[in-house]
Amino acid sequence: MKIEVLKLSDEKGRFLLRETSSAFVNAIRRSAMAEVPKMAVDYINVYDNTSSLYDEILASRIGLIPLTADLNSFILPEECECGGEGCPSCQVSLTLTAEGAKMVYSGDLFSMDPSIQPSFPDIPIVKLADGQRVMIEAVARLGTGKKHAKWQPAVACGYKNMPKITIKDCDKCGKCIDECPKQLLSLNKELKVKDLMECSLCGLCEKACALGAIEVGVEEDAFIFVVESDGSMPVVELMIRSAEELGKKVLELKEDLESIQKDAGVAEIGQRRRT
Amino acid sequence: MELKVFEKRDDELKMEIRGEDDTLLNVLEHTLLEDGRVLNIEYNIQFPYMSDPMLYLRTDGTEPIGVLLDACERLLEECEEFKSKFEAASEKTK
Amino acid sequence: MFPIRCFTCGKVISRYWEEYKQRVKDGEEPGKILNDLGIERYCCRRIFLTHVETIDILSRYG
Repeated sequence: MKIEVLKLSDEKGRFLLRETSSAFVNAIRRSAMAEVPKMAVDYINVYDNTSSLYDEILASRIGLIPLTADLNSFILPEECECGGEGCPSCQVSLTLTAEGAKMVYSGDLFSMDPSIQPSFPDIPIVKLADGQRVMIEAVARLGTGKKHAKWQPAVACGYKNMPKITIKDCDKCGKCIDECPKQLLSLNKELKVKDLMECSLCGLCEKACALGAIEVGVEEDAFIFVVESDGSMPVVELMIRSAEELGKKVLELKEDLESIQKDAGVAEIGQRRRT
Repeated sequence: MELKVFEKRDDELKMEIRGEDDTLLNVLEHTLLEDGRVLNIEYNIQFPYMSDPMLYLRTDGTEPIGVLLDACERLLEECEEFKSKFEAASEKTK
Repeated sequence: MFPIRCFTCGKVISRYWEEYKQRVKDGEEPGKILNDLGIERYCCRRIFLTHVETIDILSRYG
């Protein structure tokens, strides 16, 4: 496997992966979207809400605010010693108290644990008119994107095969140049592709060519991978965690298979009849 | 994850992998297909979100669990490789 | 209130809304503002273009 970084910031990443399979790249993508845990508000106590939004809408809005956290110091409520009841190692509460007239922002959430903060302080939650009040206690827990989109750290995560455009026996008629919606082709003595990676593989240039001189294909083992983070963690951490989560699954399968192998034959006889 | 074996012979294995989905099964299938000892591998999720994937594996006579374990080993290596290569590549851009 | 995230892709978009609203009011072209703010996908852009703010009307009847 070869990995090349094409573009990388905390919010966005674009990578070129070579010598790998679509199955593996897809597993990484699925794992980044649905298996990497992150913090999000999952439960709220509304002590006072005289704003124009319903309690439920406030709950939904607060839940969708991305929270940055030190993920290594928390565990999933399902796996916690407290049995999911709620204890300091699986949840953190945040409070929100505001009185109008003002716009309430995510930065107004006051966290009990300073390591957990809204990723952006400028997300509007609700606009309060004069005299309106909200007083809310929000409980943030760890979760995965499988259960709810608020726990999904990767936004717009996807990949495509590396395009491969072959040009031979071209008569330089230039018809394909006008056809390309991304204007990637140029004719200057010779027909050339300006930015191969931008090609969306639409194949319109192929159709425009009467000679069949241009051919759009893909490299089967090379992928352009695009990820965006929702702000709760940097892209690099997200990708590494997604590989880790996939590794954890495989390891678990391996351990389970080993234990089956050990007591093989015992359970098997009774179960064979069931099928 | 919980495994429930439905059928196990010398060259065949049919089992349910509870609590998993395409994320794991699709790569697993692909890794097993690269193994010459595997004659047939398929999995089926009858209804997404409701049923657990059923894995069916037929080998050329090799112990199927051993073949699966080898595939797990290779997948683990691939994950580690991705992790280390990714770390190296992102380090370079800093 | 403006949605916190894009319905389709999940990008956190609401924090750009106030700037967008102000700049539209100042007479800028919506498409150009969105390009400038880095809202590039059409799933996120349509939410900006079609949003109608009703919170001020609603709060009168609170």
